[in-house]
Amino acid sequence: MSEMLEKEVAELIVETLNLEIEADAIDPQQPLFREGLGLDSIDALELAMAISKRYGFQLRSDDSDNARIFSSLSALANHIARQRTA
Amino acid sequence: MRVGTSDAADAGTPIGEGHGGWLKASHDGAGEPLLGHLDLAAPAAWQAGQALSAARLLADAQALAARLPPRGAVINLCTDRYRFAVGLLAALLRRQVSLLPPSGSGAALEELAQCYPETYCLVDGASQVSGLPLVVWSGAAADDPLPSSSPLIPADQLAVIAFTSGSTGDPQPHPKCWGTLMAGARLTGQRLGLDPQQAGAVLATVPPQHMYGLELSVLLPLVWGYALCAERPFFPADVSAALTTLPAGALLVTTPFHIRALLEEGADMAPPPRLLLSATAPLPSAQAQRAEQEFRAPLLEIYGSTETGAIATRRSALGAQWQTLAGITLQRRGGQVWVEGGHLEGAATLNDEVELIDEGEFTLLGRRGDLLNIAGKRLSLGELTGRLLALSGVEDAAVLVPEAGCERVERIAAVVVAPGRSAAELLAELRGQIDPVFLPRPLKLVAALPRSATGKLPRAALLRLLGEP
Repeated sequence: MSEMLEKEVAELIVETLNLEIEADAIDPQQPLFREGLGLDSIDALELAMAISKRYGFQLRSDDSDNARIFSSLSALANHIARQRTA
Repeated sequence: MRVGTSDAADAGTPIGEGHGGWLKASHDGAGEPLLGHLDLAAPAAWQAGQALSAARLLADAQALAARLPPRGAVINLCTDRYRFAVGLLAALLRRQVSLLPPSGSGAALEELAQCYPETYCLVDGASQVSGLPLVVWSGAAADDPLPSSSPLIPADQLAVIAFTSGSTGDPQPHPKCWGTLMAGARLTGQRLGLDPQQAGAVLATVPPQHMYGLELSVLLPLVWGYALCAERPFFPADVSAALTTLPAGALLVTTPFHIRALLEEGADMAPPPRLLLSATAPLPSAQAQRAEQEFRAPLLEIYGSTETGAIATRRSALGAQWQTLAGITLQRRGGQVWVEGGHLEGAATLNDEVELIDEGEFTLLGRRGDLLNIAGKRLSLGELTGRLLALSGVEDAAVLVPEAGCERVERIAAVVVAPGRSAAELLAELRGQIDPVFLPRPLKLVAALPRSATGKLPRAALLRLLGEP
């Protein structure tokens, strides 16, 4: 997984959720939800829509490793790298 | 059945209201059965694609009831809707009241526990609750005998205390008796055209721990002999997947937020739901029309509050007017609008400003206290928001008065999501529709609104947005 994708996903998160931080301020290993960035379930839905538009696949919450996918920027970017069709 | 204009049937009463005496099972009998299922072998729930019978639900409730601690109040935090329902019924069997906290935050739970020292939490998975006694959910053993009839619960037994959220002050308790809850669910189901002889499944994207989720996704199926769905699909793809595990013609209980996401993702809704239900915030008519077309199902919005439960519906694609549920009337008295009749035990005031068309039909103008009065002219923030949302290209919008209470003339600020549009264009279009004193200054374009987990917009977050460069 390239660092470029990680940076791209960070920008997507900041842009989609209108976060008041710079994309490169997101620690790739930091949790995205609750602690860390403090995102909530509504953010998750927004993010899912943005990811589907950009990368052409839909997130599912019954994915057994869903908790892991959203655990950090790095994990999310990894998941996108595996799933992307666009 | 209320007689209305010729199109009232389309707008408010899609099927009919003719279930006669059964609907009036009431406050004075021996009690209300826990379940309305005509046949206890019929499914009362779907869990991971498996049907669970009404008898199974009762057996699980009785087994759990036997294990509950001898305390007066339970906060039912089960995330699995089947387990939540079992917990609710088990508490009823033990004459314990279920508390619906204003939010799931640890602070909210602790506050409740302080007011109700007898409280414990029922959980069905890893829990982060601390400081409260915990009971972990479990049902009946596989070989436990299944009950052959549904126990009766006294109609006047206190079943639930719902709390209103603190945005207008401290959490306020709203106690509900079992008979009131059952009567409300009957009236709602009657309006939706439910039929116990043709029971289906009810799928919901909302949690059961607030009034809308409790009434529509738990009580409605219990009363009408329908099957609730244990899962709570979240992403659009989850909703699609969940529908494939259910019999055709499910009801989908959801919110404007999820409807927008389902539309944007072009979610596959097969087999198509029989009915889409939305509440928590008004759904723009255009979006309702699009949802009806794309998902091939009528969409009804439910209007209600924590205080009253559901009291009215509208077919949003066809009109803005709400029709009250059978027997519920609205009257303006002393400057306030009072709602009474139907399942309501007394009269209650509405939280919203409404325009009464007659005692059973109204339009929403906005939240009470939402009314702006600038230079003697009145407009509600809700109406202004509605006008912004109706402008081409506007996806989301919120308005607020940032400096309420100052002696200067108040100005209205708007935060708007409208990709590709400029603030000047939007203001120019708005200028033709409202008095210039109400034009937002500033009208700030943003990428998204800071909606909370329940879709509400915290004022502080909006003010932060406005303060940004």
